[in-house]
Amino acid sequence: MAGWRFTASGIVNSRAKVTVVVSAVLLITGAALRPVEEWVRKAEPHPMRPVRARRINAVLGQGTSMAVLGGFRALVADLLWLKAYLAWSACDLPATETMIRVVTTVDGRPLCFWLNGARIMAYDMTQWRLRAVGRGGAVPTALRRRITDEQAGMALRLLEDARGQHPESAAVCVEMANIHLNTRADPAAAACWYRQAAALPDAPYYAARIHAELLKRLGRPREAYAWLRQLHPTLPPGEEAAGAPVVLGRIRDLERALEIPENERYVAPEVDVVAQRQQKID
Amino acid sequence: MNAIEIDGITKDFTPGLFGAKVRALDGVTLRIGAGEIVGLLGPNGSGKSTLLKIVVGLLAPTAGACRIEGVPSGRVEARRGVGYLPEAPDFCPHLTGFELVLFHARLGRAPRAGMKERVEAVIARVGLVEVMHRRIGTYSQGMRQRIGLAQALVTDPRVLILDEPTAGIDPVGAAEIGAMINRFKTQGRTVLLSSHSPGQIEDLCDRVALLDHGRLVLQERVDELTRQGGRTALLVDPLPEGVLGELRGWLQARGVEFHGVEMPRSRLERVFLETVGRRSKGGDERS
Amino acid sequence: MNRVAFSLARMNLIAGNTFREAVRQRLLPLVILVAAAMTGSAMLFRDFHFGSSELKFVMDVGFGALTFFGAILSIVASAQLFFSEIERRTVLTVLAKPVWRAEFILGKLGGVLLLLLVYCVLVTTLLAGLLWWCETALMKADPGAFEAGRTVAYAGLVWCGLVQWLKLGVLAALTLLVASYARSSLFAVLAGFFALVICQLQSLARDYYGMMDSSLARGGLELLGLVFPNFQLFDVADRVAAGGTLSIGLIGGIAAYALAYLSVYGGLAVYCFRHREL
Repeated sequence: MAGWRFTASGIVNSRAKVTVVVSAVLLITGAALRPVEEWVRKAEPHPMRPVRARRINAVLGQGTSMAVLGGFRALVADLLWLKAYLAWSACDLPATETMIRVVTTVDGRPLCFWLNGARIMAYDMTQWRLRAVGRGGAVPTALRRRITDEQAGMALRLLEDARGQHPESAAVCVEMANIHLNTRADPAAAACWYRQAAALPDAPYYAARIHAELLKRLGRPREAYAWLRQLHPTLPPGEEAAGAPVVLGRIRDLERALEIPENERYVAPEVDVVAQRQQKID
Repeated sequence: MNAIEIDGITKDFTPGLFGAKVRALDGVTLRIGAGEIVGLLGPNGSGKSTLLKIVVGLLAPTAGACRIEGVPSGRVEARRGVGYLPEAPDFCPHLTGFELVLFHARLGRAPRAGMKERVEAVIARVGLVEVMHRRIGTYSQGMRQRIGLAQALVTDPRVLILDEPTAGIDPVGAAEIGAMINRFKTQGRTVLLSSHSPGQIEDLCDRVALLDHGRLVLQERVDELTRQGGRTALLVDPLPEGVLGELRGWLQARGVEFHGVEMPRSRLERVFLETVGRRSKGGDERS
Repeated sequence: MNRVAFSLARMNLIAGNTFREAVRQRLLPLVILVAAAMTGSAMLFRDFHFGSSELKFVMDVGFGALTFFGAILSIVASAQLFFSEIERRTVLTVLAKPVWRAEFILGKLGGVLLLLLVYCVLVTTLLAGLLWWCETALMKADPGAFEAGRTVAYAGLVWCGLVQWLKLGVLAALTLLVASYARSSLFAVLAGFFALVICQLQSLARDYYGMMDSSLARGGLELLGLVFPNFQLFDVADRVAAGGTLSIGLIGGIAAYALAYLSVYGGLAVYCFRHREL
């Protein structure tokens, strides 16, 4: 009959038909729009890495649902950081570790959560564990080494995650270098990370200088010399933090130590000419 | 041409996806001529509201057909000349009566010129002009029913479908709505209304259709049904026994069989209407 | 017999009536008040922002409030404004007029979209004002940090508000689709919130089934994932807060994605409502 919206076949059939049609259209729409979604995502990558399943699995149920659902990430992360601080002040290792992971998962934008979290894991937690194991007495060297290594590993894994979130951050690389150097006593790895830090846009000047110092310590003075030679012209002369005179001084030290012939020695632009004139006058 | 034609309408409902079918209407056939007032009478659950919804095109029948002025009632076009008042509508309490009727006037494609005046006139016709700018939330049940009637009337429909138009209303309000429905007849409108009150159908309708368990069990003119075959009743002031005896003898002498004497009591509803209705003309506007 | 054509005017009339009802029910003012209070409260919490800068923190809380309370408004308004018509039987009086069911459903959707637009405009304006005031105070306190001028991208903020409106609109259409099929408003509201969680966690879900061993389970979940839009695409506030910009291409892509879902959900809601027994 014209105009009626469904036939005499009954409501069961009608509702079942509606269900099937709606499901089919939704599936087709989803499939058709998936390329649009991918295009939008790839056209301009999100500056902030989305929360991944592997990480969120460990933190759900910590009051993070609201943040994960899209709102109040900063506020929730700050509140959770306070909670992490309370756990830290009670030297509660599992709670502190969990809270650091929760905070960085909920809001991975602020670097300070990653850096401070990694420092707590690498330095403070090592001390807590050593204290607990030693019970006031000395801890055997092998055990000390193992605990320190484990904590450094934990911190470095956190910083690896941080690099995923902040690939252009020199501070993360510097922190990784520091942990390699201070806790693992691994100057080779540290040198490598300082070098990576130095290549990033917001790198502190000292990263490049420490890289050269570590190369020297590793018995690779020629590499250190080459590094400093190419570094020096890039340093702004008027900026104290850049330490151009310090770098030049180290270049000269290395030239003497390596007995670089006079004609092959580094000639610094202008500033060095001024320094030579000064030497002659002296 | 009939205003409404209902041909063998059957309606089954199936609760949930896999529930057993429930038959609400079973092969109902009814013809309603233009200008006729027909009452659907039946107990609760007899299928009156379902039939009216099918007539208006709000429900699809499982079988059968229905036409309004020749147009299948499932089509939007069939509703052009129809005014419908559902059973106990609860209009948005945040709208004013005027806003509600104006909204329905616009929906019903009433002519734009003079629309507000038209809306005011319809509201005046249902006796709510003094409260039309008050929110519906402050209206009494009777006033809500009357504003519902106004929204049905605002497009000047030729066919009115009224589902329990006096449900939940006091006798004064019901009488006023009854008077309004009687006026529709003089205006040449066709009215199909439902009620479970035989008295109301008797008072208002030309014809009655009796529904029971979804079946049309009787349709007849009201005056045919209510006519007491071959008897005459006289209503006079109280008579003393002696006068009654004389009267009996006088009738017997003329060959008229005397069946008995009754002292009819006054209908309570009439007393109520005469007492309260007189005192509160337009009654619940002040409630 | 003249056909009654689909009428935008009648649809707009129903949309206007829906909007008016929502405003008079105090649904909109209440949600705006709560969202505004939450946004304003960022000023109280800003002293203990640890990670991000003060302005980014205020922006984050503001957009958090916009999204969170907007989602509540979107779901509750869509379900409630639809079911109030059904439960009060006023839908019968509307559809007894020469009105298409499509006009009714799309009018309802239009009314909710208008409601959400007003909400987004008001909360975004409030947030922009708050950021301006806060930034002005910071500029006075530390002029050196603002040598290059203001740091908040106010144009980006406006685009963010628009994108959030699109997201809430998709959510409203999805809830209306559920409502047009469901038998109770409670079911529609719960299903709406459930859908919100799924849509927001689409990326996570894809991660999960990407890690699954069983290809059957992975295939099944992938199919299920196709039913829901990915709301992470709409999280552009992070870009603006992180100092990024929103290109016309990006906004256009998101808008196309949202409009496609709006149309499909709206169309399906009409289809379901045409088959609904009133």
